[in-house]
Amino acid sequence: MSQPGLELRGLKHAYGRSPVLRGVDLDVHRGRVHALLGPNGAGKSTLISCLSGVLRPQAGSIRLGAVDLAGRSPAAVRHLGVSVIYQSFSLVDGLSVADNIFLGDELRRGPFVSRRRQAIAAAALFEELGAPVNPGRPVGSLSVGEQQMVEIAKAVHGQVKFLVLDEPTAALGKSETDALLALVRRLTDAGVGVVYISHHLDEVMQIGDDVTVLRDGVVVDSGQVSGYTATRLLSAIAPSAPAATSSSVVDVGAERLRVDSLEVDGVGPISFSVGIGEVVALFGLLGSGRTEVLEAVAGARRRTGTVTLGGEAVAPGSVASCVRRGICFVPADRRHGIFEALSAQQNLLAPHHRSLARWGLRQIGRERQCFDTVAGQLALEPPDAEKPAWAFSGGNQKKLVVGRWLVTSRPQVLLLDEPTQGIDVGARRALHRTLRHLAAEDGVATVFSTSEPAEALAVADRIVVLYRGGQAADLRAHAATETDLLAAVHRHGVAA
Amino acid sequence: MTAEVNTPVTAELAPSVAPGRPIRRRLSWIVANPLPLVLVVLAGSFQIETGVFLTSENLTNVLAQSSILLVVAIPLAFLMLAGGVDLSIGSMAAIGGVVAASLIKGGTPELVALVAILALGLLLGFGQGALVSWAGFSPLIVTFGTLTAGRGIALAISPQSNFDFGPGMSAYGNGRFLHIPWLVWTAILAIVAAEIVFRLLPLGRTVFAIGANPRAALLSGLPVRRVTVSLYVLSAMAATFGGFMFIARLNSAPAGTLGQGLELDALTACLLGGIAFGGGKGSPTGAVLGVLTLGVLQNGLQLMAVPTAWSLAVKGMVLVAAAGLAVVSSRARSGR
Repeated sequence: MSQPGLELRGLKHAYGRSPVLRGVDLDVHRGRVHALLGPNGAGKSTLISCLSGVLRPQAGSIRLGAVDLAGRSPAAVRHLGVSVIYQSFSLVDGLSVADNIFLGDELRRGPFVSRRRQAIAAAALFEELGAPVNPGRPVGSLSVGEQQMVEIAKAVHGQVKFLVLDEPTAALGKSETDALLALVRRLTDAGVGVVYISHHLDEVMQIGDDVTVLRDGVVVDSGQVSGYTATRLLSAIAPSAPAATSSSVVDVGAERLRVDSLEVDGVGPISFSVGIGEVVALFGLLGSGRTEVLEAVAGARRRTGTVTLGGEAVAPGSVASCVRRGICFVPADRRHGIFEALSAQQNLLAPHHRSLARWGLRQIGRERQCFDTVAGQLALEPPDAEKPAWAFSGGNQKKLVVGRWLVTSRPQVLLLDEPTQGIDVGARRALHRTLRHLAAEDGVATVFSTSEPAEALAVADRIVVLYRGGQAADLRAHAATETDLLAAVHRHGVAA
Repeated sequence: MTAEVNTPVTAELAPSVAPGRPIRRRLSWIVANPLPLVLVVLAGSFQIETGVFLTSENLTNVLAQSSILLVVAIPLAFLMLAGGVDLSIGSMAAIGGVVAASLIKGGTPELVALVAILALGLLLGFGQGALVSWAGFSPLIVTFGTLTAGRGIALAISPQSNFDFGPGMSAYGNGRFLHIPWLVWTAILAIVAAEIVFRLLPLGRTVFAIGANPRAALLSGLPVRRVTVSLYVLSAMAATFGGFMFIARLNSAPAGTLGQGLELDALTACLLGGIAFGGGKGSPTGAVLGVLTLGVLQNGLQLMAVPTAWSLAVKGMVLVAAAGLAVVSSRARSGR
């Protein structure tokens, strides 16, 4: 490659006194995909914030040819050809796809915005990217995968030389992921250099050319992907992570939760039951109705059908009454679970201030004690009660949301929507172990949703397969294989 | 990590925080909570300028003038902490005032009239809260509509203004207990109650959580709707009670002007006190300090015989300056 690459040298940054980047080097070449891996809190997000100009690194340089990008404004960085796409999109829901792509850079006819030219240019862009998106549709009506494509089209429509993608497939199903990876390939074929951040090793093996593993703000491993195996990458990311929990055949106790012909927002009828100490996976792709079912059982959506807990009916439509009876829910989207502005302690204790009070008065010492206990159990890092939630890494924010239900007593039923979405391998395994532990030791009836067959098989005792809002199968995990799950989806798909 | 917004301030402050920390920390506390300092500076300059500001008589006067605003601003502070807002306070006060006035003039005992208007506030607040919480209307629109409608209703109830409500009312409105006006005692009661709820009761945490992230609060099983409706009820009841305090103090109940602009003063006090629009940030203590700042400013400017036009301009500028300080302080804090 004769064109200059992007060279990061000795990048350092700290928030207050805690260093996040401690001298990071990274080379990104035009026409290649550089995968950036690392556990939550390794400094990946900070690194790309420095790269995009949102943060000014406290030391080090980011060279693009003769230019140092460090400390330039986001607009200047973009102008020089480096675009960053964050996990949370920067799209305006109410505007059309084309309007979004050309936002701030409108195609004009005289002084007026030319909708026609924008629509034509956007259509041409999608043609080139091989992404089937209608430029006239409002962005709010698109699926997450389609929005991701629009975000990329927006980033590359100018003269982009380098593109940074922060966990682009975190919320995507299989086919949308494939489409995205194909799109990334087209971009590199056109000479764009890509920084690809992901927790999915298979994607990295499939699409990466170079790979760098970041841990605690330093590069622990770096080289060409062809020289690595998935196992070696795994041990670089999480050296101490033990092997995945295998679901042994456990004795499932009496039935605790029963869901009968539940229907919610076009999903259903769904029926399944969960025994004491049993872990059930709701396996399904994006749009299969996983979230709807879990939220309905948790009382957060209107539903029909019956839900019984220990034989007694649960009234629909009230999260508070579900929580009182021990049915606890962990949403998929961190933003639906976390109180960003509030302290770690307030996040953990949010539902418990009343039950921890004595004579109606808060017990400050007792509250702190509870926080310390749970923070210790979950290995919250740092275990700082007063630190606001936004200042924690993604995986630790997830701990705050899950930990909320482990404070005073164990839940009767724990419902988790995509619990491992967007968290790293180490945190993922820790969570799997926590779920199994809660089920085995405390008899918690657990239901979690996932789009990964391997995760469903490894963690669950039983797997309920959902497909496009219908129930496709109900399988015992130890007797099932990945092929069975996909076949269940497939058969159902053909039949429907 | 959503808060990684670029702040040059962050990068420059961070390394220098370590040495000489106690002083820095105190400094940053003042930057984060500027109102006590502002109050001291204002009081000092008014004293130097007029020579009579810091007399017990005048300070009592400041408190008496601020008491009604305190009573309505504290519930508003809770409502705003939970992400709501109430723009109808002025008209609610008018309704409370004129209804109480007509009842008392009609021979109803004062206490019965008081209970009646509190019940009225409960009903009106419940209506507003239900529209916002269950029907999903915008609180700005609902309470702004009520502001206009409420003034009309007050005028309809009492086309001519009643006056002279007897010795009981004037004792409450202008009398004292232990050298302190009854109205001020009322406000002190409100402040103490607010501090207890905010710091010692679980409810305070719930209010905070609802403001910080209503969805997360709901999914945590917190009674989001019930608490939100209760806060609208509380605000409306405080407003009608504020109307009662007004007629006691003025000894008349002019439906057209009673409590006019009270909602804006209460809103200004809350914003001054560091309570953010949209909730999840601030404390009722901030609102109390905000009210006192406004009261000191108003009283001092009056003593200096500054024309109303100018004192309004100063009030507005103080608000904008406080907003500027809030921006600076939130940057300073996110650096740590």
